[in-house]
Amino acid sequence: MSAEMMPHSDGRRSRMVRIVAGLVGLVVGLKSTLRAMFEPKVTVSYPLQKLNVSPRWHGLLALPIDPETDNDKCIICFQCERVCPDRCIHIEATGKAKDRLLTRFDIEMDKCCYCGLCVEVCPTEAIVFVPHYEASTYNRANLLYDLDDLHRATPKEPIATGIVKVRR
Amino acid sequence: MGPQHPSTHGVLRMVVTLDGENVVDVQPDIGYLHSSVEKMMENRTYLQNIALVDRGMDYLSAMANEEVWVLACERLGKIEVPERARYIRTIMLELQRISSHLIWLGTFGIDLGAFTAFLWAMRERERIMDLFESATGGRLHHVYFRIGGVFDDLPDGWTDRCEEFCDYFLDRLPEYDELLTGNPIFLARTQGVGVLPLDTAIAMGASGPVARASGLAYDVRKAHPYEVYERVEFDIPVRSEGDCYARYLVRLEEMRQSVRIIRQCLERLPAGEIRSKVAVTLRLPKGEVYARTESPRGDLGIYLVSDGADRPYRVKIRAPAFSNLYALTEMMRGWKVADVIAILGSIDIVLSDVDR
Repeated sequence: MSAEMMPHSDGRRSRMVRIVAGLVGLVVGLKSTLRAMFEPKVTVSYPLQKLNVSPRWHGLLALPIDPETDNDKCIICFQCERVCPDRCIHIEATGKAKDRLLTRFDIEMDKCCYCGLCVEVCPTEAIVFVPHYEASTYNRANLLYDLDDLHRATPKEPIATGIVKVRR
Repeated sequence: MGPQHPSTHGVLRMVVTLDGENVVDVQPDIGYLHSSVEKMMENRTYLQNIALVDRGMDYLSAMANEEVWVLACERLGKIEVPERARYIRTIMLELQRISSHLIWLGTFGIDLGAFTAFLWAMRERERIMDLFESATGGRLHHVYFRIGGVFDDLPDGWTDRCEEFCDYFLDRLPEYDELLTGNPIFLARTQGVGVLPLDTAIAMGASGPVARASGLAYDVRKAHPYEVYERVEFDIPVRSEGDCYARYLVRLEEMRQSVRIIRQCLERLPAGEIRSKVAVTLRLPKGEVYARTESPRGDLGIYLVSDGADRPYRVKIRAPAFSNLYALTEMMRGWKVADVIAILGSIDIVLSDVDR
């Protein structure tokens, strides 16, 4: 009788050990979650709060105006147009040699993959990244940035402005 | 099951044949995320392709993709890489490994019903993302490696911040042990579940943590060293059980080893050039080359054929997640339907890497 009971009681003991070990494991896990509850919060409640982006941030593209000449820095070398993997930059110019004038500089921001190759190859730093990243809009046409948009370096219709809008 | 099931990672459809609750057979049905990256690469120059491999392949470890691509180009063109750039690349690759494993740890926790691990893994990953952002400008898609070096030198104070992160991360890792390793529910769902025997793992071409959890002591970083891996000391964690729990332990240990590599690299980081002069429209000589690296998911290779033009003639990508996915059938056969998600979560696939 007792010999038959042996494996049974053995199984019961190992089950008890398992239950105790499990409870200890759960308590240890809950203790660390409890500790995390009293640590400072790491969540940023975007869009009400925002983080600063790093100086190298691959954000939207812009053509800053040179304060000395009050004109573009672009020398119309077409390097950015050629290096763009998505072929989203379109440049047109009139005139010849030194009298060349930029007539069109369009960037299709919807195609852009923010790789930064155009900024890298530009010899005069005419095209740069700006620390702005909220380009979402309801209309695809708004994502075609022409010369004016790139000078202003702001999207045509800023939607995500930091305050949640209620649509009527 | 799938392709839009919340528990699958990406869009994967699995045709699961059941006998009651027991899994008789599993056939993964892939192709939902196919983007023909290999063909697209034939139409882009070598420089432009760096931006493409970032997002076209495994998007959770963009640096690893860039690495294998620039490595193939450098080997074919016999382009020298400055010492400093090679150290920087190694640091970045190991940071990428940690960040990729953290995502896996979090999603694996969610698959098994532990939500806290996911939030905590994201918290740690955010630190790595910030490090990436300040050095490369991108958080997920960096376009940082260049053929013959890296894009730019590390910003001021970056190495200190990286050091700080290493300390912080090693402090945090025991919390995961407390949360998951000792958790009876987690153990019951992973220990002994989804066993992949060693011979099957080899036959199926499994690599990375999946193969190492089955007892295969193979790591490309040791077997075919690239960058500075032959100069740093690190161990390859190997387990012989081959179950989900072993895969979990292998990845946890790999993160510790990554921190060890990063620390050694930061210590020895030499000064000097970070980029050798390479033309924007690079033309590689006629020929072919195969480069292999150890991505967070396993043995990642690129076979590159050049015909002398400014863009590749043919590129073939050997994706680790693809081979690991096909070991899935062997792992799942005979288990209950509830274990399917646990086993799928344990192999850490990224469908973008599977379909390419």
